[in-house]
Amino acid sequence: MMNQINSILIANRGEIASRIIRTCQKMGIKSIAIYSEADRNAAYVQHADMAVFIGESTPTVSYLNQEKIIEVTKEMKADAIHPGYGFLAENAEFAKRCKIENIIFIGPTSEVIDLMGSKSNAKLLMQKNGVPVIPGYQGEDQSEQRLREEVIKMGFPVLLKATAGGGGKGMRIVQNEKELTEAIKSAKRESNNAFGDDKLIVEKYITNGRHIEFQIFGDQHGHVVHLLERECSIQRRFQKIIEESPSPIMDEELRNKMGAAAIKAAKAINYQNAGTVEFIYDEISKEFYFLEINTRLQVEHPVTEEITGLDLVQMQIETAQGTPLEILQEDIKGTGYAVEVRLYAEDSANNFLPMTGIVELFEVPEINGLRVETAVQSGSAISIYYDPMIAKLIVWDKTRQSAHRKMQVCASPVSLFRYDN
Amino acid sequence: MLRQLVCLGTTTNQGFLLKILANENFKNGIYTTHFVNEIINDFNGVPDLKATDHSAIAATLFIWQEREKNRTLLRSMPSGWRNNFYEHQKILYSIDSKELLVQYRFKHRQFEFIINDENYSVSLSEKNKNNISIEINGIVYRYAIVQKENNMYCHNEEFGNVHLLLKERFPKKEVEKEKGNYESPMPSNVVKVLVNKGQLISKGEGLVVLSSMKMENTIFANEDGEVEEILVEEGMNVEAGHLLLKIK
Repeated sequence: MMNQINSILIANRGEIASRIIRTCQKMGIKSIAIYSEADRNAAYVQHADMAVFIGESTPTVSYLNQEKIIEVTKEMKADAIHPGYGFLAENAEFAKRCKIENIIFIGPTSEVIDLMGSKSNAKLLMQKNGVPVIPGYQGEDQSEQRLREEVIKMGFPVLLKATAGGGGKGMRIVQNEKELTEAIKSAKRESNNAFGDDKLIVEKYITNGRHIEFQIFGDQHGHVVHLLERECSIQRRFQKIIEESPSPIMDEELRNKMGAAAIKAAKAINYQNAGTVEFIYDEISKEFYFLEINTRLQVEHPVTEEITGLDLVQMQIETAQGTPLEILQEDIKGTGYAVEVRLYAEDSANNFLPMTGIVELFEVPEINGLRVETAVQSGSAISIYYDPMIAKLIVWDKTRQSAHRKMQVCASPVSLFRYDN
Repeated sequence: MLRQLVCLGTTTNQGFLLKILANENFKNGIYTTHFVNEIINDFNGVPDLKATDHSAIAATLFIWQEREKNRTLLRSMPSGWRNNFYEHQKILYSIDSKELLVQYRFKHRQFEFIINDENYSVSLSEKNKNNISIEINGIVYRYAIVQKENNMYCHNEEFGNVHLLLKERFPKKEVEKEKGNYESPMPSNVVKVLVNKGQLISKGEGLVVLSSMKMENTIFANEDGEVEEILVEEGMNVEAGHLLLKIK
């Protein structure tokens, strides 16, 4: 079924909204941005062909307000909604509502989002389909007593994760029994606040793990490919800050094995559109395990674009309108090396505490091979309402070393300055 | 490239990212998901004196140039002219709550700076809005500077970001932030108070869990001591700077 998309409402903000608008412009698609009170002067609002005010700054009444967003989409006669990442991107109910309203949701089907939205279901399903998963507990019995028993059976350290989780929320590493009670309580609380669900899964914590993920892509006709890996082990607070591809530890044999597992995982759920299969790779046993599938475009997707030369947003739009994916697995070859760093308003010297304030001056160097994804300009505010990411900087070059040389580095120590608000 | 990026005005992780990129193990691809925790402790090292001195010079000349631009009277007089020629002009900054006294004078088209008994011979090459180019002891340094009230945000490619607070020339007796007071760093919700009044605590222990931007943040004790007073309760919304508790 082909449904040409001529206009897209972008149900997001910030750098990802700007990113999507850029591809829309390239494809001749009309882009419609939405904005809250806090984003009235944001750069992406200026970039879009049209922009519609949707409400106060608090996300629940604006970027998370499904009814309002659908209403605006219909009013503007947009053919499709691109959810970006975060907010409604992995909300199965929203994807379903779009379908009912005859709006194309640029992403996987609501059934798949729902299935993968629960980490426990995802693990069970993958296990059944022969994808390796980490030993753990993902049962219905969520009493503290039972969780405690399971943890002790497994042996420390363990990782507690919100079943509904993502973005590091509701995650705790527990090293010993003394920490366990408080960790269960706080993980449940954080999970409940962020996702409205306090169910946890328990996993054996892999001490020497590397976080390696594969970009997958499926069309509506059963064709699935992977677009190589991204290494995302450099994290703080379970959130990535540096991503690179190829992974420094990857060889052809491991890539083939992990890539095949990623495709197996995608095919098990008839995956459509862009997604990411996350694995943890144990450096000691050399085994890898399925963690989860992120049913959205990832923050770090530019790394994959830089080494493959593909435009993932364009591919998302094309597959969403039913165009068959023409690329074959054997044609996908990475060229060179790409690295992304995420610039956050945060205090690294103080437990990475998020900071707010005004970016008084923001200047990007003009260098060949550098790509900057941001919605910040001099004078932009980093508010309490949204994620404090300021920009993503992506560098492509022939080798890892030469790319890092470009990305970095001063020989002398760098002092941070503080902004006391 | 990352060091050429200028982002001034709010605290960012720019320096931290550069630190990772410069790390030998990272360069060699030897790292796991623990990498950040492993290196975080050597991050909070001694501040680089050269970085602060140079930034203070750049900030001072930035202020000097702005003042010159606006000068309408006695334009033919040399800048900073004094009856007592040997007296330096003084400017006081504070950096990371430590005071930094900068003394300088303009002589023969050059500036002579004294900071912490160290002498610098400086000339101003160029200034253009936020960018200033200065020569310090024969080496040219380019700075991007933003002045916001008393805050001087300075960026240099080599030294990264330095934030100087401009003190008043005749400083009032300063209201020091009382030791042992713990404040909320940003608008937050109090999720949990982990200690009780009168409880003995040790450095590094968690005191209060706050939630903002949907993330929980724990405020940790910076010292050993006893919880003197708790001023918040669970569920409360607090503004930035709200006093959470006191430790004696």
